[in-house]
Amino acid sequence: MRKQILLFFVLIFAANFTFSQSVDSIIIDTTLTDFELSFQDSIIVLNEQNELFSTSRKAYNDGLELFNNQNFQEAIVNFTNAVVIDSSFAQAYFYRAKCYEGSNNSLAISDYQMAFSLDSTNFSPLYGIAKIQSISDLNEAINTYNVIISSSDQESKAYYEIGVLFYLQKDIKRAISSFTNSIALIKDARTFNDRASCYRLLDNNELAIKDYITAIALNSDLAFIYNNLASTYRKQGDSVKALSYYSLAISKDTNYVLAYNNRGSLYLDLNDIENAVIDIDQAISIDNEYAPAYNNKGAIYHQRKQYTQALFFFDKAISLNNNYAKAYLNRGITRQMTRDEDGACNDWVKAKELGINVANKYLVNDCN
Amino acid sequence: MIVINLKRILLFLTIFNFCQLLLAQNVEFRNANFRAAKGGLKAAQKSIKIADEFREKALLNFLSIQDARIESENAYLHYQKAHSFNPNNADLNYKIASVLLFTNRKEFAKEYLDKAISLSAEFPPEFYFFQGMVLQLDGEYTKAIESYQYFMNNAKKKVVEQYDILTKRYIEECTLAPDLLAHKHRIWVDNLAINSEYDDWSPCLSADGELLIFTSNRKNENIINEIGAYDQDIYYSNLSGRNFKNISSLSELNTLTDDVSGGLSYDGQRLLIYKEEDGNTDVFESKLNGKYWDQANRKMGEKLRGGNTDADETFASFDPPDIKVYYITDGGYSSNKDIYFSGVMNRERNIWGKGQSAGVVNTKFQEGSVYIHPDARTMYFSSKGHNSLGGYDIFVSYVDELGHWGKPVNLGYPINTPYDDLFYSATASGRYAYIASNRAGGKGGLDIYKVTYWGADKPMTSDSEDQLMASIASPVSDKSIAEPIAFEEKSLTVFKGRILDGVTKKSIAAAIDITINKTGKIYTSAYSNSATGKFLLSLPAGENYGISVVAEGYLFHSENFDLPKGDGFNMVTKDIELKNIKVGNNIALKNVFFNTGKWDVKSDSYAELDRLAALLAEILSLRIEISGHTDDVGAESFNELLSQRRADAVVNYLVGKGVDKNRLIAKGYGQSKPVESNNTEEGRASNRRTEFEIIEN
Repeated sequence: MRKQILLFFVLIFAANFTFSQSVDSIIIDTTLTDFELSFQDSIIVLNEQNELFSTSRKAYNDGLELFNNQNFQEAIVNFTNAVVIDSSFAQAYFYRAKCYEGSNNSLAISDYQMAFSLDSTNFSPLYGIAKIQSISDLNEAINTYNVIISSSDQESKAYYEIGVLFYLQKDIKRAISSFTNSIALIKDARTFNDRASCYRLLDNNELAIKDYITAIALNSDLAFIYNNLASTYRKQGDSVKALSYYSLAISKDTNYVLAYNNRGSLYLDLNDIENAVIDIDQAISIDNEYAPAYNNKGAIYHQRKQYTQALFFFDKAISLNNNYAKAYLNRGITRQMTRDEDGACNDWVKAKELGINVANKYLVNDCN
Repeated sequence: MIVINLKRILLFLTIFNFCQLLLAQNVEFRNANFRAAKGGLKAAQKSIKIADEFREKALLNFLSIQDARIESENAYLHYQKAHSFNPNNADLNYKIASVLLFTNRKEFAKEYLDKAISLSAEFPPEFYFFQGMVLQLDGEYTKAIESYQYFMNNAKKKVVEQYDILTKRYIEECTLAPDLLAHKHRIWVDNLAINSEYDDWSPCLSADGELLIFTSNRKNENIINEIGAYDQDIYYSNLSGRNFKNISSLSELNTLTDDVSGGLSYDGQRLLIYKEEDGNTDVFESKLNGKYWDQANRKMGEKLRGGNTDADETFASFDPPDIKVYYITDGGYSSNKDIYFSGVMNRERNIWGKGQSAGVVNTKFQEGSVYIHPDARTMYFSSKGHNSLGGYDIFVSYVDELGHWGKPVNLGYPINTPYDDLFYSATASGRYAYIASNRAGGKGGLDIYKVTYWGADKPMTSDSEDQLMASIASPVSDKSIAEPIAFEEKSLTVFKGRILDGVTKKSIAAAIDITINKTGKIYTSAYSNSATGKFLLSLPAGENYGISVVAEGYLFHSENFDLPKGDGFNMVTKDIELKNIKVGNNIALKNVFFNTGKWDVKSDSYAELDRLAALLAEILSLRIEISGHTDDVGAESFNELLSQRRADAVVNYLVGKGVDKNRLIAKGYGQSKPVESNNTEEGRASNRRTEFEIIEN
């Protein structure tokens, strides 16, 4: 018995020694018993697996670094190496899917599906799939989010995303319902903002204002919520509060072009041309390709009866957005004032094609 | 100090002498001034004498509120002869200015008046009356009032009495003018490209705004009259793009004497003109027959009956329901031009009611033109009365439910000016109108101007965007669009289209009746033009109408349509196709084609044959013969065979479309029935044809 124990340790030592050299250099001791051989083999396999696991994880880590550096092509190579070595490596599939997103969505979905099949407790791959589906088929995306909800009733994000998709489908009431479900699980400023915007679209400005204010209470740093609140007050005709909240939006983000343009637009409506010019110019200085600001600048010059300058800015707005309906409508009005009646009518035809009904009224009355 | 005073005195004397010298430039028509040109002087004096007589007549007319243009033109012609001999006579320049004020060249009166003032400081008190008129034309209302008042205060009592009505009238005009001018109308008034240096006036527009008929005494082939003017002729112009660019003489109505357009029916198919017969002017009507205007017949009854009197009836307007004619007569209650109307009592026998005054639109001053808008509720007329800015102004009046015309409203500047602004002819939409005016800055005399109402100020739409969804980066634009302020909208629809043969698309002259289904009454009737098939009706919106169309040889057509009360003016275009059904009618199928020497029906024939198949499907009693014809090229036997096979091919096509073969006969006539000479290519082309004849119904 002692002899046997001694022999076992000797063999272990010998085996470890040989592993530290090279697998090829393993000396098969034909004198070993079957049990001893089996044990030796299991150790070899274990070591082989350890080495492969190590290689796979290294490839994954390299891929992750490349992914973070947005080097998606090389990241894909590394994630592929990782899953070739370890076909059950869910995270590698997940990140390879993210690399495929946009360039090859079918491969992305395939990898997300593989990732979810390997780890069905993690819904991230399903969110990824739904995100891709939402590009081409909102209903398919909604179905995927519902799969998440049916698997777990605590997925606030799934409710939120469905709400956004309903919003995109212009099914505002169902969007509100989804946002409400999301809020019941987690009170998030963005969700309150989005539900508020839906209320606003339904002309329920009171509830919209209430939600925007709650959103600001939850996160007072988000400039766009102040801007949205301001625009809602503007819709209500409360110009004082509107101006105040546009100003707060600007104070939260001094480069927030939308808020400058919106406040300028409000000043213009209030016939405060001087302040309108300051804000619109500021909007243009922040983003010199922001078409609405050029449209508003054109409107300012039109108000001043400086039609040549007005036309210059409407032209600029249209050059930035060839389908800018309001700019066509406005340019038509200015062109009419310069007696370019053909030009005016052509602009109103375009504005009508782009969905502005009042353009048709102008066409009927002034262009027949 | 004394030296300085002497210098000042010297300077004063120099200036005084210089002024005297300037004033002394007034050159009297005396022998002493023209010793070397006694013949010329004598002729000039004679011209002045003749001109003075015309001026006296002109003044008499003027002071009795009558037209003084002809006498003034005559006076001007003769004064000009003297003026070309001696342009530096103050009195002559003043007289020229005064007579120009009664013509269509009144803008040049100022030039002569200023010259007169530069030549002399002494004028008769009447001078200040005419100076007031010139200042009024120039918009110098305060100064004009001062001149009129100076005249009133300084002229002899008898003269003041003669001028009393007019002076007070003009002072009133000058007093009211600033208020009228203070209101800014959003209107453009543009001189038309078709105007000439002569008088271009009396514009008459079809309701769709596409045909303009007007009058002009521009140069023509006739002989000029005693004042060097050509006779008035009628011209027309078709809208080209947005403007009237080319004109043509309406030659079938024009004669060697004056021919003047008065009013055009809204569909452009009937024209009222006026002309003189045996020293008396009446309104006549001409109808468009195809491409040409028929000879004009006296409107409003026989001579000296109905609306026609021994006074002159001139400018007229159709009443859209075609029951009345409104017209200008010299025989008004105030013994000057007034607006009257006459209603039809028996159209077939041409019996019309006696003329009646149009009511409060008439004044003791002259009314110069009348126009009833296609909406049948609105009258535009010109008058020297009411609150005119000076001369003729254009006014609008609306009729009430009892048929009474309401208090006129001045259309204001820039339609009206202190000059003569008259006539008014508008599109059914009311958006565009045409007027005539002798205002300053025109091309000469009366010119036609286009009035564009550009409505309420169109608001600018400012744009704002919001980031409505936190997770969606792209902002959402505000959907609201600035709505224009509502402007006066005439709820009137122009219903226009063509009456066509359902198979051949040939234009058809048809009688059209429009019935208001709610009342069962015929609202209006019209005829489509035989040359173009066009018809045009102006209908109030918000009704359900029945339209019935009758044309000889065609199936009666009727249908219902709604004209919803909508957003202001509307234009509905509809072509109506009639079914040809008369036995014996032979209709050429001009759009049926075969390849040369072949008889397969070409695919571009299908549309016409499908229409024929549809006609046969609708009227099951019809039996037709399809006939094939050729030219005389080739052997006669071949042509006969070819035409038979072509007729067979057409029949087969129709059978393929479901027409019972027993209702069709195919017949090839070869070259035996030519419709044109075979000696020309055009003739041969006409002879190569397919026809169908209705043989049973």
